[in-house]
Amino acid sequence: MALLQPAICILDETDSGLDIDALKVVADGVNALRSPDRSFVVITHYQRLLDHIVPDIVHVLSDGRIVRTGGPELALDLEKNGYAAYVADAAA
Amino acid sequence: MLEIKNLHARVGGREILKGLTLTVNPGEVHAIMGPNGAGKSTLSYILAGKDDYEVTDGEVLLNGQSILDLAPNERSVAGLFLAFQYPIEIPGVATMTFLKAALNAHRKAKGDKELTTPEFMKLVKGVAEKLNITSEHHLGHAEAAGQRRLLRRREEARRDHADGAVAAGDLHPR
Repeated sequence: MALLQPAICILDETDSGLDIDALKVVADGVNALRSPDRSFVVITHYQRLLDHIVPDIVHVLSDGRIVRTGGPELALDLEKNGYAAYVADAAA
Repeated sequence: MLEIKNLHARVGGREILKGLTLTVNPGEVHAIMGPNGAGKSTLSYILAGKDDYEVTDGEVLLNGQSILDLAPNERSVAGLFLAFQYPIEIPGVATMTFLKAALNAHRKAKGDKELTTPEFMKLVKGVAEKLNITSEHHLGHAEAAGQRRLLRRREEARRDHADGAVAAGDLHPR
């Protein structure tokens, strides 16, 4: 990523299977590459990664659509309450 | 920078994305979370241009240019990068070889001169230092050693078989 200098980086569950130290190495790498002309889309299951890579915007994807958009606090809410509310919304 | 508009996509005849809309402005970091089966991985595969993922409606624009008709390597040159959940190893291709090929393909597409191996290694070293990657393995030394072994064995095999008929089995490091 650092070599190719992409404009937009999609990280697809890059945190899965990583221990806490490795997670931090990856997150530090991503943070070092943050710049005003580079964007990131971080796809993740866990809020933990977002403690290290603090996002500007958090989206909830459910049943093929973005059903909710918010700030970093949305990720914390999900961690606490799960996806149940959003899955129900999508089904309704 | 990245605009996804009303994206519908199917995989194996099943509709997975059902009107996904997302705009990412320059410099922004977006997180996408969601339950299993919501379409997260499908979204990343569609963006990367994986086969078998059929876009039935909507569009994806990168800096105003539609990328859905571009091949994965063209999307890469256009500025898209995908980091996988589980990176796939290509047997026999060292990480550094792969990175150099990717970087030079980008440079070629942009009309820049391709980097020689020493130039490339210097660049890698600089980037690695910036990112605090210090382990020898990360810098590709381990892979390079494996490659040297392979080349040495191939050279020995060539000498042993003066007629040049080297069985493929001889080339595998034991």
